[in-house]
Amino acid sequence: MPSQIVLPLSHRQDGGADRIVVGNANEDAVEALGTPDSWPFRTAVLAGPPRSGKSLLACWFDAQERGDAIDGANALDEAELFHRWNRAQEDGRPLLLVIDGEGWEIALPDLKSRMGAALQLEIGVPDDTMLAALIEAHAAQRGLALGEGALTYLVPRAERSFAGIERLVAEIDRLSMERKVAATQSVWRDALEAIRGPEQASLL
Amino acid sequence: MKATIERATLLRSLGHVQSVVERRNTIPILSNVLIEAGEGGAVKVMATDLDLQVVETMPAASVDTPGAITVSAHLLFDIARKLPEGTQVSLEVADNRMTVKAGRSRFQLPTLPRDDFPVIVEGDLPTSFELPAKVLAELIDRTRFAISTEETRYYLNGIFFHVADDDKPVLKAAATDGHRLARYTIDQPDGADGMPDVIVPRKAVAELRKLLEEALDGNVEIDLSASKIRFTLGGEGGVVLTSKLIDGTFPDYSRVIPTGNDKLLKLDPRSFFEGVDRVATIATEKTRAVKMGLDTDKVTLTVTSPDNGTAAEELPADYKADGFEIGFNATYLKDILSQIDNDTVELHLADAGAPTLIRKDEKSPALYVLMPMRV
Repeated sequence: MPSQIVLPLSHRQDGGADRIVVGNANEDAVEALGTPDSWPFRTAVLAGPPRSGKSLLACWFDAQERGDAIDGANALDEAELFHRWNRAQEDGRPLLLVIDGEGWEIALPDLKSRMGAALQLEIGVPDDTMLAALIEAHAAQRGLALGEGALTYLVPRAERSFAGIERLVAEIDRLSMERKVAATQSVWRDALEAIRGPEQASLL
Repeated sequence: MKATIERATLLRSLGHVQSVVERRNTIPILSNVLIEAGEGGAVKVMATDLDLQVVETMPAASVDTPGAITVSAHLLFDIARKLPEGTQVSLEVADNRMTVKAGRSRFQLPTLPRDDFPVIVEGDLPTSFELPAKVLAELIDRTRFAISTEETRYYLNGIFFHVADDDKPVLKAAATDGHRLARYTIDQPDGADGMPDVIVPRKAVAELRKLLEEALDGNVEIDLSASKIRFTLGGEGGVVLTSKLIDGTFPDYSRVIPTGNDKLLKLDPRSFFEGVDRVATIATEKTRAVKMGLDTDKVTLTVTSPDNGTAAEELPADYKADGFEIGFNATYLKDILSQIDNDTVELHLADAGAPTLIRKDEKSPALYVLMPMRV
């Protein structure tokens, strides 16, 4: 069955987000970012699953001018990172390190001990309330009007992850645009199906 | 109020305003047209749907008693239409009734008071510029077919106007429904500098285009703010269309206009259109997908339908890049090709899944982007 491909239209030039959704998964981290002076050695390490808003939080922290943020710290050269940490200590400036992916194996013993002593912040798994807020935020950013009852339908069925929610809303947006119809239940259902297969597997 | 107007004049003016009035209205006065007879011998008619209003001033044969009243727009229009040509139509209001007399006919119509008639508050319209009516008409013609009709994407339900500084200051108009995009670029008119980005709703575009048809030789004065736009045609005693603008953000569309498509196909748009139209005859599904096979200096159009068999047509073309296949919605292709008034059309392609750029040539003010279909 031939199907129309949609234009990759988006509302934002940089593909970033307009706001940070705060919920159970990140409220502790958000709160801690507000009080950098209380961090041990004024250092915090922020970890979390993909697309959970780590970089957004880092940008926000940077913009508040309460300290410096290093995004993707685990990808940087360890010696360089250690220098930056030392410099921040000398300047008395709080330092937020954002790490991507699972775990952070540090080879440099000095850095390892400093990071071990830092405040460890982790973004967790969003609960239903936060999932709903995330769905709404992603939809709003795409200029997608989700029909009535969308959250009641989607929240219990969606994958409970930041990346999963983002993909789901993108798929709903794409399908509604492809079919030129409002995003109603048939579109929500097909989007869920496209992502994780049909709810009821076919017998044959 | 008592005034006498030449039937043709009345019919023409009512014709301009009555299409603004929706056929079904929950608020009775919105079905009505406001008629205002002034001291100076001019009669003003006005219609609104609360988002869009059109005011037209017409000369009356005589105004005996100035005044204003509202009466059903479609009724009065239908009456004026059926009155004999060349008659003088007298409109007289007494006891909340309007008497319409012409020749041997006499109608008594119910009215509603003029004070209940809603008028759009324009507010301050700080940006003002003029465009030749022909240019504005062309701009609308080249873009409006791409306006989205899907109501929940309200921000795509109109033509987006914005100014930019490319090599020179320009004014651009764009419309898209997520499948195709049309953009028209003109030199920036004096006064448009610093204009806010605006989205003019589809209905306002349609009404404006109709009005332009009868005023193609003149200029159109455009005044706007971030929330309202006013088009004035024919100066004093002309037509004024005021519309609310769509309160939304148009997507950053320039990013979907491909700049690096390296496969260039040139061919005659008319025979291309006809070929697409012919092979699409057997397509059964709503989307009418047509496959284009590109080879050196030729294009093969094919449609395969599970019910109706197959169709193919070979077209001569100018094509030097690597051969490949790409599918398009036949209706979209035809919509765009019918916009090209030239012996050749350029299609800039990348691959079977990427946006395709279509234009007359590089100097053309109109540019189209079409997304392919998976076939």
